[in-house]
Amino acid sequence: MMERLMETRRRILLRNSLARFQSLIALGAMLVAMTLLSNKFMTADNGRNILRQISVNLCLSVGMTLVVLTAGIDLSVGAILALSGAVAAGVLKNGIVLRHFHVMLQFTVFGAVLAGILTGLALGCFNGVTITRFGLPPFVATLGMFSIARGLTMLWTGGFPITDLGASFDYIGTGILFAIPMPVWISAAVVVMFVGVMGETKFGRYVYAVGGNELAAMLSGVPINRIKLWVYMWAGGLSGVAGLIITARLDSAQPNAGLGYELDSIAAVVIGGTSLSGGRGSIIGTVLGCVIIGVLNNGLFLLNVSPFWQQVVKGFVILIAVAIDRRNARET
Amino acid sequence: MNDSRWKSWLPRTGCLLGLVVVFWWAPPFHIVELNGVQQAHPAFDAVAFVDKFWFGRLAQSLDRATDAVVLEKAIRTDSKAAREKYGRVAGLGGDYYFFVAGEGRVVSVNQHEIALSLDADSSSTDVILETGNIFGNAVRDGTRLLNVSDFADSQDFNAISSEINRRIEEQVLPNLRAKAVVGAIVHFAGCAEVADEGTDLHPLLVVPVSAVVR
Amino acid sequence: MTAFHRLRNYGTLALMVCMLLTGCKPKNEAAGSTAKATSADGGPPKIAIIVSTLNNPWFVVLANTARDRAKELGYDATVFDSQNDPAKEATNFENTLASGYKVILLNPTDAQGSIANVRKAKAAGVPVFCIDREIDATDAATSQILSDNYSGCVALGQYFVKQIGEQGTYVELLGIVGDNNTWNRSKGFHSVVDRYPGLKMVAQQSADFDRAKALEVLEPILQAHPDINAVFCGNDAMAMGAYQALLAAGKADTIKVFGFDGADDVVKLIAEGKITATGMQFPKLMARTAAEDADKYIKGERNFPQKAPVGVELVTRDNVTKFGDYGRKADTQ
Repeated sequence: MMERLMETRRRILLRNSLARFQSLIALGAMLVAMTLLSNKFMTADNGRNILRQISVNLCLSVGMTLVVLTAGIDLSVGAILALSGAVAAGVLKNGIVLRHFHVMLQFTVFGAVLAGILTGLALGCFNGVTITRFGLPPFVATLGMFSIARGLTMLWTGGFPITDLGASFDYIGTGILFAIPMPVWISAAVVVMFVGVMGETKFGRYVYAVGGNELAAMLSGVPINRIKLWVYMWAGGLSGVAGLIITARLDSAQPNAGLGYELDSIAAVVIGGTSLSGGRGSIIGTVLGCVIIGVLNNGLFLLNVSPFWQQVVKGFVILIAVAIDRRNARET
Repeated sequence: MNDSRWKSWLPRTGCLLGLVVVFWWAPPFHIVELNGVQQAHPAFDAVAFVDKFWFGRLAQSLDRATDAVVLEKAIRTDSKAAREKYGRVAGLGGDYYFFVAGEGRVVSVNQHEIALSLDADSSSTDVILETGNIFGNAVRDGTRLLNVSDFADSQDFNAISSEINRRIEEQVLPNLRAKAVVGAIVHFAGCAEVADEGTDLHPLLVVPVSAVVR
Repeated sequence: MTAFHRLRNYGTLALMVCMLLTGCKPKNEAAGSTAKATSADGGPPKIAIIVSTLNNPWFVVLANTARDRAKELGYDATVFDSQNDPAKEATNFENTLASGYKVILLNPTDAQGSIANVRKAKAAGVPVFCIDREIDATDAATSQILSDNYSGCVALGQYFVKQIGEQGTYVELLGIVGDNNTWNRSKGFHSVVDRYPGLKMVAQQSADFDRAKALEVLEPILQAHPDINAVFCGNDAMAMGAYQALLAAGKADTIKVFGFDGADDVVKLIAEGKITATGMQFPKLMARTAAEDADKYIKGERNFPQKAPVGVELVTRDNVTKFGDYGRKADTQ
């Protein structure tokens, strides 16, 4: 009897550990499958391409992970990406004209980058304020910001792309350092920074606490409103970084950049095992989610599968990932 | 109490000082006098370009135009062969151009056109000179002197056509309209745009680049 | 952090590092491997057709004709959709360049934004032929087969004046504001119509080249200006939407509709006298020419004109029988 119990226990432990590795196993399986199906898959250029192509989504998804961990959601990341990129491009190319003082502020690349990130932080802060100070549900608040930011982007750009931003600005998106593209360096730095923040700092622990059980956290003295504000600010700031990467890569700020990117980042977060009800999840899980989506898109491209089928497959992957995740949650 | 208050301000002032140092070393923006701001990319000046073109290459090429009488005869014999021999094609697609010069007698004068006869005796209309508003690319593409591949932005190429047409309206047409009466002899040079196979080439509709009334 | 968590984290990091390390091959080897890959594949050379969007039937015809012609000539051709997003177009370029395609037929998403992508292809030794839309550079693409939207709308404008007369009012529906073609067409049209001060434009709105949006945008305009003479739409999808709006308002017989593109449904309505005119762009001719140019390039030809404009022809009730199926009837060109 005792032996049977031990046997079952061992089996459950094995299943649990396998389950925690599920994303990694799924990714491994996909990689093997793709390599067998296409001889272009396991090549230098392709690997670099995949990492470069997921770098924007990675920045957005890290921010989204923080937000989702607090049981919130941010539907405005794509719109903030567009506005930040447009602001950076605009001040770099045209400066800010102050007619009243008869001067023009000619921005440097550093200034433009700062302007872009600050735009993202400011919009994220606005999100945080509407959610914490005015108590709007995150879905509604960020939906409103989505519309506001899209409109502001159109107004700022006049509907036209802002192009020809110069080689030094474009380096952010197109430069290559030690055979690794700049966007990959930037997104890697973001990941490392936030893995550190979430794993080692008090802030990180508070984020998990707020998402896990908000009432308990509040009663334990966690400053939930301040944490939420910061979380949305980080999401906005990271959207700003993503906007800079895209604008630099294309050498042009497009007025409708980032359309639909919020859905891709939510998909990455969910596939990576972060629960939408908050409290459970990790940055590395999100990274895995991004890589899975990137490998999926790339692999299907190489197999000449229509981009529309890619969308269908991505949808199913999300459903399967969440279903498995739910099952795990119930068993622990 | 004072001690801890001091301590909490220290990191903040430290950051501020750090920021000041960073901004001194790598300024986010420079303040520039508004008047001193030059246009980084000067827009294409179609007027100056056409000015040079009009008095330069265009004027020089007028004597290379097909003679009107020769063209007229070729069209009457075999219009397809005339197109092959004398017509100029600007790109892919059905339309083509003739660059023609000659002398004709005014047969009739309307608001938008002047009809000429190339034959001294007859009064049939062989050539019609457009004297109303000029549109289209007849002169730009008919003379074959300008190549679209030389212009990065097609809009610049289109601006050239507009400017050429405007110049014709301002410099060639007023004189022509004033002096042309029935029976006068007009020495003209210009381009005709033919839209497609089905267009009737007789009379030939010509946009005049130069028209001198004797 | 549990041991499992740590293992998983390190596992992921190791994976990413491996992906990057595969990139540490020397440059020329990577280029060589691409060239070898195509012949090692054994199959016919591959041509990529990167189209700006597949959401508009006109572009679907453009892409599919190019693909079919390339296949006829013996190549392996695939269509990629940029979904009107230069970022997705950049991704398509990166993926095609890494997959050993020999020629790219590009329908650019943006005249400025797409230049960087074309230069990247040029640097990798892959020729790019632009179809229908241009890029604002003459040293990047091998050849550009362009539709002259401006001149097409000049001709349309002249017909407009003939139909409406020199006195009247009209409404203009623009396409996507950030698209070069929107302004090429509008400027061409206005270069003619603005010369007649009796013709007044009472409203100008963007309907994003979309049929549903045109319907939505025109209805309130009709409320405010019920007695206009005509509607000029920047493309045929909007012209169809505008026509539906006029039908609903009962004004389809009194207000004339002008479109641009040469779409099948509009050509049919022109034959029935319901829509007044459109400009026929020739997607099939351009696509076929591009595929044939790619064939010539692969066979060694290097002398291509940088720009080969394709004229846009005016389609009206008088000559509509000559047109159909996105080109001239019995189009053997």
